[in-house]
Amino acid sequence: MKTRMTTIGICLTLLAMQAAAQYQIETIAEGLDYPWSIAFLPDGAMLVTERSGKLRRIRDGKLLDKPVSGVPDVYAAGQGGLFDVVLDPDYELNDTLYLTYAHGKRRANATRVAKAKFDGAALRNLTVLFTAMPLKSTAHHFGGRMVFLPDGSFLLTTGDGFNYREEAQELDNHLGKVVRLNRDGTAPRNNPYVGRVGALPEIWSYGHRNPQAIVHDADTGTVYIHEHGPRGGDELNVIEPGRNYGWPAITYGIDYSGAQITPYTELPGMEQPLVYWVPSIAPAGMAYYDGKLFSEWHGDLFVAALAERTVRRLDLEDGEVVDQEILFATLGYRFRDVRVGPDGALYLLTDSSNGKVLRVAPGTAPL
Amino acid sequence: MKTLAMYVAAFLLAVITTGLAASVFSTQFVLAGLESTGVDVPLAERVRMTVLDLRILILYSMLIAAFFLPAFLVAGLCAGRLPGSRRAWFAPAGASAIVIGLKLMEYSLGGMMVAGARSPAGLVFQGLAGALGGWCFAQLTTRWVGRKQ
Repeated sequence: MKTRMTTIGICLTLLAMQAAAQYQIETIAEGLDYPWSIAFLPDGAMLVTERSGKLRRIRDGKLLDKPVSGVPDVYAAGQGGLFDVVLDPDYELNDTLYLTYAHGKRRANATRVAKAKFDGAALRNLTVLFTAMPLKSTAHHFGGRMVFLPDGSFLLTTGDGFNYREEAQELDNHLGKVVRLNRDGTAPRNNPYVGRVGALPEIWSYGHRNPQAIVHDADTGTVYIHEHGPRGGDELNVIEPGRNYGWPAITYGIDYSGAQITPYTELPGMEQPLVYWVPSIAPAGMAYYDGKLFSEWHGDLFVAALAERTVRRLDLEDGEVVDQEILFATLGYRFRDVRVGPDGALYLLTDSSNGKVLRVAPGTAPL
Repeated sequence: MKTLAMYVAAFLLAVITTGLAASVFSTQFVLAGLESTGVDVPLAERVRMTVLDLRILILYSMLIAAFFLPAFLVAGLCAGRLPGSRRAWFAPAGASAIVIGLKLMEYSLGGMMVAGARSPAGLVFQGLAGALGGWCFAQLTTRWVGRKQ
């Protein structure tokens, strides 16, 4: 009986190994100062943000020494700095890109989004589109990721500012929200709180803590975000307009001190996460795999994790996460972001003062 | 030697007293914050969370001890050389130690680690917990050490 069980175990292990994707990892660039986000230009070059406030270019597999000029001053402290870089959906026609960043100073700062024309070396005609209000006096919880929707508007995540967590439950401010904006920075007229007295028209959803990833699944139209919990309670959520995602009234985490944040993990009118992680993995970036290099990964979500030092592949079936695979753990890196490149490869950003851009492509050297 | 042991015991009791009061105060301010957003917290849940939060005592007591030590040394020097009762020196020393300690932590970490001290009123109550600890220390050392001497 014991032998039979062992044999079955070995067979299952072999099957699992056969099912696992075979890949190899190549270092595209290194020496980046806490890289935060990456965008792929139509000519094959890449743009990488550094949290300290620089926008760097990678061309022909080489990190260019000279950063892009014209980048706005950022509030680089704590978790603040330069965050996301996203190309306009019509970039090939208008050369426009969007930057999200922490703006302001120690006693008055906020998440901001601006757009600018990129001429290959410099940003021009920088226009500030949105600044989260009110300004806050902490250097934590900025959110700062954005994604475009098919109608041309975009969603931006904001954090609760750490000291202001109850504000995430209020509709008269932008803290702890997902906001939806037009490309000129105005609020679309069909946002859920347009016209409601005491509510800000930009708000799309609320009750968030510090969402550092947002992706749109073009196949189903689903928008996913994940957000950092405190000690435990990191969440993956499906975002619907007008919904309340509960922070801090409900959470599966506790405070860093060990104290309770709330007595509740669920309450009426508040959404439950699709997945939550206890202990925290510190999710910091995410990609929906729709590339062509890894057919077995199609339709899966990839979550970059800082604290766990892994990337998690979430196997999605019918809108549910049915399995999670831990990837790249042996590398030992804190992963800030994961993206799918136009070539179908997976691109990873490592979080350190010697940050790297790694490219994961099919190969015969699984880790 | 025995006098030193008495001081240490009084110090530990002061730290624990402050830790207990500070934890209870912090929980009430956290719950008040939740209620301000429309969340209803019945008494049973309030009591349950207050008790659960006592688990922060070990960590918080270590911080309180670190805050108290320099403050009580200064208060002791003042009490020995300047007029006024020991309680009048140690209670404010305890209060200011907690408030200054928490604000220094907030400054260095970028956020207030004791959630119930994020508001000015919450911070005042943490200070009151510190004053209680200072008062206890003065009371115990006056009674124990004073009687011995």
